[in-house]
Amino acid sequence: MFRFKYLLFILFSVWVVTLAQEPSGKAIMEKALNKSTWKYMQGDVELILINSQGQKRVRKIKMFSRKRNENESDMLMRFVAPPDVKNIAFLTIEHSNADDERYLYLPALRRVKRISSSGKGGNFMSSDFTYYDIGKPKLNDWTYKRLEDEKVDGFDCYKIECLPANKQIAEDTGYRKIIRWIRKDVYVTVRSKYFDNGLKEWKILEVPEIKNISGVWFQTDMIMKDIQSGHSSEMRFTNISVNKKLPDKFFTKRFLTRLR
Amino acid sequence: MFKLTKWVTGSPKLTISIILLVTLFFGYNIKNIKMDPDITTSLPKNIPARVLYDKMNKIFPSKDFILIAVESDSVFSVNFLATVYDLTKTLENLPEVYSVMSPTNIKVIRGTEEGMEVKEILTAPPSTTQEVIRYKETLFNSDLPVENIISKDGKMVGIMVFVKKNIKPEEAAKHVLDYLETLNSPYHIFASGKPVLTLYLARGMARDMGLLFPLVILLIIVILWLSFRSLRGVLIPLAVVLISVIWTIGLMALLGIPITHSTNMLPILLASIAVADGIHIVNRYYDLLKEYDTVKEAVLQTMTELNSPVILTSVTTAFGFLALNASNIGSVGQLGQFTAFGVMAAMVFSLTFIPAALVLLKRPKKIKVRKNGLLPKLAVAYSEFLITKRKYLIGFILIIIILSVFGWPQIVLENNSISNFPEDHPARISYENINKHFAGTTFLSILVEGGEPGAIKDPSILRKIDSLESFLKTMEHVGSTLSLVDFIKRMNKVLHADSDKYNVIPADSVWETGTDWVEENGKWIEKPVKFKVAGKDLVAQYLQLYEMSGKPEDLSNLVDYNYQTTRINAFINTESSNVLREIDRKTREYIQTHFPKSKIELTGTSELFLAINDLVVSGQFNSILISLLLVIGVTSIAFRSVRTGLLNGIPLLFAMIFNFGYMGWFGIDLNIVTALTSSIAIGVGVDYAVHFIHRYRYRLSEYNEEESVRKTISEAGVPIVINAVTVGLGFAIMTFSTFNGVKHMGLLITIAMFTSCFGAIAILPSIFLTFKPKFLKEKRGE
Repeated sequence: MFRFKYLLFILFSVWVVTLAQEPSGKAIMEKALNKSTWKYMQGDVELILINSQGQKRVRKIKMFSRKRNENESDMLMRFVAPPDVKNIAFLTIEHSNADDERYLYLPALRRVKRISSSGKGGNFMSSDFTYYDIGKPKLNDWTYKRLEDEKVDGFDCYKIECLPANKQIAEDTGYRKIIRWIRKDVYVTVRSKYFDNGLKEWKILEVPEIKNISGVWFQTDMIMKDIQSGHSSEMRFTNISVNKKLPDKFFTKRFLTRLR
Repeated sequence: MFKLTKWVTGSPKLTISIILLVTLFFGYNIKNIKMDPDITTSLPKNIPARVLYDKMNKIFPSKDFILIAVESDSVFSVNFLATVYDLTKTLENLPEVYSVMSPTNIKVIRGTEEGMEVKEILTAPPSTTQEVIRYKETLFNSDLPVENIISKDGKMVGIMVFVKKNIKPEEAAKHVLDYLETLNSPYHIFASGKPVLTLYLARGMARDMGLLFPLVILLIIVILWLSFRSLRGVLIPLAVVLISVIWTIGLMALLGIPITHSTNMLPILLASIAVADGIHIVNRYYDLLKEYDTVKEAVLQTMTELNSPVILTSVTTAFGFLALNASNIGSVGQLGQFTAFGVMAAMVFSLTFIPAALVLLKRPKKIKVRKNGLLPKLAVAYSEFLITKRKYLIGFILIIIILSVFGWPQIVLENNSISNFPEDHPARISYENINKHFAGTTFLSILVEGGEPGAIKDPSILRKIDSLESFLKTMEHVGSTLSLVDFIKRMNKVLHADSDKYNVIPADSVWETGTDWVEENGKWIEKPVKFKVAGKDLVAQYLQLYEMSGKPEDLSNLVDYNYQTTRINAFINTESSNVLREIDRKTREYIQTHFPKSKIELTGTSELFLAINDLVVSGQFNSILISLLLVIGVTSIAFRSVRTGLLNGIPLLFAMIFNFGYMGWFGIDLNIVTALTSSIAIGVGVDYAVHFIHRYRYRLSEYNEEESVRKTISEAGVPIVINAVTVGLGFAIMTFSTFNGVKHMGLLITIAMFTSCFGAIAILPSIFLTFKPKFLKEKRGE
């Protein structure tokens, strides 16, 4: 009897140890989502849009962001270049239980205009990134399956297949499937493949550069390519600083007009 | 030449084996033949209209669209809108489709309390009558040009399906039409637009190929049977026809030359022409059998006599076809080149295959004896008429010529890809229905270039576009226009409290009122301000606002990514080249007087049609001239006399004069297909004059003029008439085509065969008898 209990204990321990060594897809994702993060962040963004003919639009933007809580954040972006859109400012106030609020300040009209929310699946700044892509996904919106590990740019990565937990998620995001490559050493996504509602390959995210700034990992260069349309978008971050407190009024409609 | 005949009759089996082996090779290649029904692809790459069109298609992602019209008594009802909504969604997901614009998915710019939204008009089909009413209001207050998505009488909705530019339009049309077929919809559905027309053109061409070629072969069999009443008399000339067609189509397949609206007629033309030599050879062979003991001797004698006329008539015919290259329209040139190749191939087979086959076969038991039939008697009576009463004939000819010349000014130069289809053809019914009720499926694009990147955002350029657009709309057949300006005006209005006063392009510098937040006594208050702003910044920021609300390439079909080049699309409800010409002329005039310094260019399918039209006219006269010169040149060399060569041209000239007169009087349009008639008719029709003059000179060395004419009429006149009737009937098969253009062409060539034959046996002897030309008596050449 005693021996049997002993045996059980050994078996259980082995199981636990194996589990620890070989985390499940969900566990990896959880770790990736919950690694150390920031409350305030600011930096410069260069947004480069390239159409299928190779023509480019380049926007230079100053970006400020704060996390109100775990799932909601605010973001303020101010155009620096090109000159004809200079000083346009864009504010998003995220709501987890309602549509996000999005405001655009047009200096030519000196008015703040609300932009209708096209949902999380809407295109962020008319790029190939959707609001969903640049936000933080909720762990339980997806189900995860670990695929065989692969290397990306020489780094060992977990490869995880994410399927929408319900139809609503698929509809909101536009994705029926996402495959993510997450670096084993730092738990940062360095490549993603997105599949549309017909399960056809739609977009590929490549992350040529990640940086650790004050203990937080950032994807400082992201290229999202729409395979179907041939359009692609790149976001490059520079001068990132973390946890420099910004006043609350910074993320209000009223303050948009003050940014000159 | 005689050496060839000797070799061929010496090793007949080897000759036939070689020919059949090569035929097998070409026949195998036919499976690779491609079809290209799109007329516009045959335009030369280097002409300005084409260069511009290609340039436009490099800038913008889609060029062709299919317009699908769905008819209902109650368009604005829950059920019907649900159908349209679903149909739109499905069409959007077809792999060939770039985008879809329908009343249920059109992007509407709406002013909201705090700003502006750009959104598809429906996120779900309206489910109550209340929602339908609201939907209808939104649609008609959107300031969007709805003329192509809601019919004028409100009984149809239009769905514009833009095809990806790397997809063949006819393939996209096929997929869409097949899908519509499977719907089994209770509503009437029509589809038109260039891709659909191209598809129907391809189907008509395939039908023509499958129907007309067998018909020609059948006709040839009947004529051969009537002429020879023997199996070999049918099979040997028929083999020449089939082998030359197989070689020609096989060669086209090998070289990757597609079957087009022009080359589609090649098998019929070639078959009708290729049979003629065989008839002459077999006919002469049967005659000579009576005089010779062995088959081989008879064959050798036949070929000795006929080698030269066969070569001469084939070469002139080939040159006539080669003259089609003067037209500059690629596919027409190809028709010329490959028919010429086929004619030369048929000549080679007539000179090799026929004698080889005849030598291999035993002497026939029964030899057809020529009876004194009706034709020889008629010939005798006719030559007496010529000698004694030819002044009546000459008078008759002159009257015909004068009447014909009066018909010329009535010729209408008109290319219309719609009236090419018969009235009850689905392509035409759909096209006419759709173009009657919607803005139109033909489009004219006006390309406006601004210079440096961002130039298009400049209000001064936008205002030009705006006035040009208003001008276009004043023209009768222009149903609607669409440009970037429509969006900017709408945004200007929406962002100024929906005031119609702002439904304009902003001025270069504008006074705006806005609000500033200012801190006063520790409090934030909103303070109204008035300020001046550059119109260009206003436009740029509207566009930024629009972009932020939509997808990256929402406007890409109207303006390039750098805002350097934009286009106005004008939708036109006709394919008539004359109407398009008028629109083109007026538009250019307007641009010239109002914006003489701007870089504004016209392109689009309508401009391609016009370019084809121009090439047809210039090509028409060039190729008539060239083919006449070639034919006269070749016959001059053959007869060693330029004057004799010129004589050969006279019956052809008469045939041309008559043909154009006929076109004028009977309202046959001069278009891309009927324009081919002349060169072909010259090349083929010269044979009759060649035969006639050849025989006349031969007789003139022994007899006086009158007796020579008698002999020539009875010896050469009869075979000439039989030849003309055979070839003419062969061409007449084309009147069974699907297309009115081809029908007309068949009719015109058949007429030309008869008139050039008439010219040879009536005008030539009249000249001989009246002027008694001396040069014909000079020593015989060849």
